[in-house]
Amino acid sequence: MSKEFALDVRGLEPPEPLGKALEAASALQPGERLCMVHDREPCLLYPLLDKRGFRYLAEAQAEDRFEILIWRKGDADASPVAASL
Amino acid sequence: MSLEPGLSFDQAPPISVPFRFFLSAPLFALLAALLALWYGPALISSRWQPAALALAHLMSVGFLGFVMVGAMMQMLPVVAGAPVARPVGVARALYLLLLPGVLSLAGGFLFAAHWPMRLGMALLGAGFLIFVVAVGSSLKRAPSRNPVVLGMHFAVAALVVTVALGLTLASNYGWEWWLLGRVRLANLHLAWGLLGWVGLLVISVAYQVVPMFQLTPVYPKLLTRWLGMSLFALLLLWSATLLMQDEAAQDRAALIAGLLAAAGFGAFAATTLRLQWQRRRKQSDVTLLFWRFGMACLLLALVLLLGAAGQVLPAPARLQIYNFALAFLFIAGFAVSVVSGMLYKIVPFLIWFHLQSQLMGVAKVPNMKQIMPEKGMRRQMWLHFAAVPVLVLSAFWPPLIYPAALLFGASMILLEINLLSAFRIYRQSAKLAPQAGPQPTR
Repeated sequence: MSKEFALDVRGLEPPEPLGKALEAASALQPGERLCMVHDREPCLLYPLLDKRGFRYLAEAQAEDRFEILIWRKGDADASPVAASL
Repeated sequence: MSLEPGLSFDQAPPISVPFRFFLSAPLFALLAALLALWYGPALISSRWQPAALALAHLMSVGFLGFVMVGAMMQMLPVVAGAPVARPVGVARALYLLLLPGVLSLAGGFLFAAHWPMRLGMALLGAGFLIFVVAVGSSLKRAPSRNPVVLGMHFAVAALVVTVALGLTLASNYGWEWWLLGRVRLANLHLAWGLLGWVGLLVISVAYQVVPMFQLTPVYPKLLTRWLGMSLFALLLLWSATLLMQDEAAQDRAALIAGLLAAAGFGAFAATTLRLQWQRRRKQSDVTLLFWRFGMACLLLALVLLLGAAGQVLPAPARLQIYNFALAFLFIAGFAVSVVSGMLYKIVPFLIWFHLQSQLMGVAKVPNMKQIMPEKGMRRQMWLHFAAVPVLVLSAFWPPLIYPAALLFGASMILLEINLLSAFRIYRQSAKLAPQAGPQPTR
């Protein structure tokens, strides 16, 4: 059973949103994932996550609201893709 | 609503791509200040003065051009989702062409020498051609068609016109011939360069960076959708007036197009100031103040333009004074201010980002304030704020060019020191990176 943590970084000045996301992601335990809410797509976060061994899925909910799910690579319990299958 | 994987390729070009341009830019402005000190009040006598032309190009192609080329190559992947292909090679080629190109052009003007002018034309022509092809093909691939991307299309198109007109005008100096309609073509070159390339790029980039870094509400949709397009159309109309036979009608049409463009820029400046007023965080910062000052200078330039149109001063005095006062207000007051303000956000942000990427949590990444300390930025900002009014007043009383150039030169030295200090922090921190050690800056 996966556990999801919410992280709302809307209205923060760069690079705070990226810093907070990296910090929260590195604290993830097996089976846990992060749900980051941002007011724009954090394109520069993706290469940082890739390099640290995280997977992510971005959903544009509105022009100024993006939800990014982040979990550790290989963690099938935390993966939202596996859960929906 | 769709759930999509984020873009997985590396979004950011190596730090050397934008930084080689950012770190060189203030040196051109410093050179311009030294030139002003050397030539003194004689500089203000005519816009066709060799030294005035050299100075104008050191500022516009050297300082503004370099920062904008570097910033665009950095921003394209983020705002358009389409990075420039082979960014390191392109940046290196651009740098090697544009740097000697600007110096040759300035030398050609200054010494009225044919060969430096021809060399400058070849280098700048080739450099901007590579830039336009590289950035243009990246913009063409861009999956997103947001107002920032659209505005960048218009800005790059304006750059093409500016360079084409510039090469035509420069050929006057490179070879012994006299271009008919030189004054009108030069005015058009100025309009496409300053209002088109510089103005449209600042406006479109502002849509993204003002809300993001200054934490303001977003720009109104009406403005972001129509302003860039309308200003570009007005520049086209303005150019078309050259084809008119009747000179009086031509002047009138150009004046109307100019006034409408001024209204567009006025709307942008007023909206930016209003958004800054409505920002969520109340304490001021250097970027906010630089932008506020830049918008005030832009509005003042528009008032001067209206004064010129309304013929408030007698004609000969009016022309000379307005030309210089307008140029100082637009280039130093508006463009240099907003560019400096942006550099103070982009530079520490990029250093933070590249260190995050390289250090991988093994060492603590310095924060923005440690990378770019507030005190150094504020000192430079106040020098710049002191330099601009004195520069503008020197158009009315030329001996003031000495204190103006000293203040402006000093502010550019401080800007360079601030940027270099930040880059030194990057170099030092990058040494702590695991495995392969610091990434080559290339």
